[in-house]
Amino acid sequence: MIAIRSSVRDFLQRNIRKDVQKVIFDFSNITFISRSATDEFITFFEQNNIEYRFTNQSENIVNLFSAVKNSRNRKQRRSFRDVPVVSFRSYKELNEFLSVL
Amino acid sequence: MFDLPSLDFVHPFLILPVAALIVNAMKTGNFFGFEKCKTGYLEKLAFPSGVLSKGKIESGELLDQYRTKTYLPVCSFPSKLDLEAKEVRDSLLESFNGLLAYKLKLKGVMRSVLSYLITEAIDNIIEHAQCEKGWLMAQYYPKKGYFDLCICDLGIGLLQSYLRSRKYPEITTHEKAINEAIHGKSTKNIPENRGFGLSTSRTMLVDGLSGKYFMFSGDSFYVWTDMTEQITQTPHNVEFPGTMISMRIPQTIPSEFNFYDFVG
Repeated sequence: MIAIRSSVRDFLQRNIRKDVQKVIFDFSNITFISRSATDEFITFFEQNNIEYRFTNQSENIVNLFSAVKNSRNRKQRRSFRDVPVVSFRSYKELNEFLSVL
Repeated sequence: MFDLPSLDFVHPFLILPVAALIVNAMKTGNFFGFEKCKTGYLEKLAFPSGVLSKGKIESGELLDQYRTKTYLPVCSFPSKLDLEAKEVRDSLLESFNGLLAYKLKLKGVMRSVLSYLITEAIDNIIEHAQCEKGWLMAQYYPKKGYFDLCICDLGIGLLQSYLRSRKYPEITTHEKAINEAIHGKSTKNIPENRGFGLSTSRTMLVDGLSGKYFMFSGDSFYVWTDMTEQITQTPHNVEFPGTMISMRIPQTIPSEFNFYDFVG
């Protein structure tokens, strides 16, 4: 499992020399990588202009890298909508609201 | 004042932030007369200090005693960026994640969903909260077919995170900060690639899985379920000093759900 963005950033900065041209990772025992960790991988190699490749990736990791790469190649498609803001005058009202959730 | 000994059940949603607040208050000398909870239920939850591992082997052993329980106890993890903190945190998260998946018999995509929801929330604590610890806990309801996951910190909160970034002068209230955060407005310097965690997590959970999402920061909280979506200001502007996320996650996924639709 590769989970946390900062762990990936730290690992790459410690272990990958920036003057190399290509890096190959063996993902044999990796069953999950988070979206943010994936983004950190891609960002590191793009920024340092290093080619990278993986071997023994599971299908879900291949799919995740593909999805994250695709999202980076297009402008963000986040749609913003104002969520209604509600105030409660008392804890009784608040508790009633929370109890029906 | 907390009167807790008579408790025989409590949701993570309530007990986790209380644990964090008590431990923080004990540390700062503002809480007295409470060393360790000795009542059966709360003691089993490791309330308030939480299971705190020191390394890879220990975190597995500490959590393994909960293998047959319907809950995973209060857990705290270091949120600093140094190597030692990172090793302890990664180990705890791997154990927590693996054990929860085992309990729930999660496989395939649903296991990815669980890992995704946990790691993105924890990433936000590490990247933004500027505090020493994060907290997490889970409760499984076998007969109801869902589980609750709560993750919180006592860091700077969403509003302070935006204010300190100096990028969004228009964000001046907790309510506005929540509204921007849930739509993915990042305080980081590469906004095109960042800010996905919160927005995709809640969309995946509610739109994709029909779960429920709750986030509390400062004097406002956000709720999104299949019935309602709103930001609520607390009465008398009572504040939670940090950020808390609580998620109700169905154990099974709808047949049309596609994990990668939400991640990409």
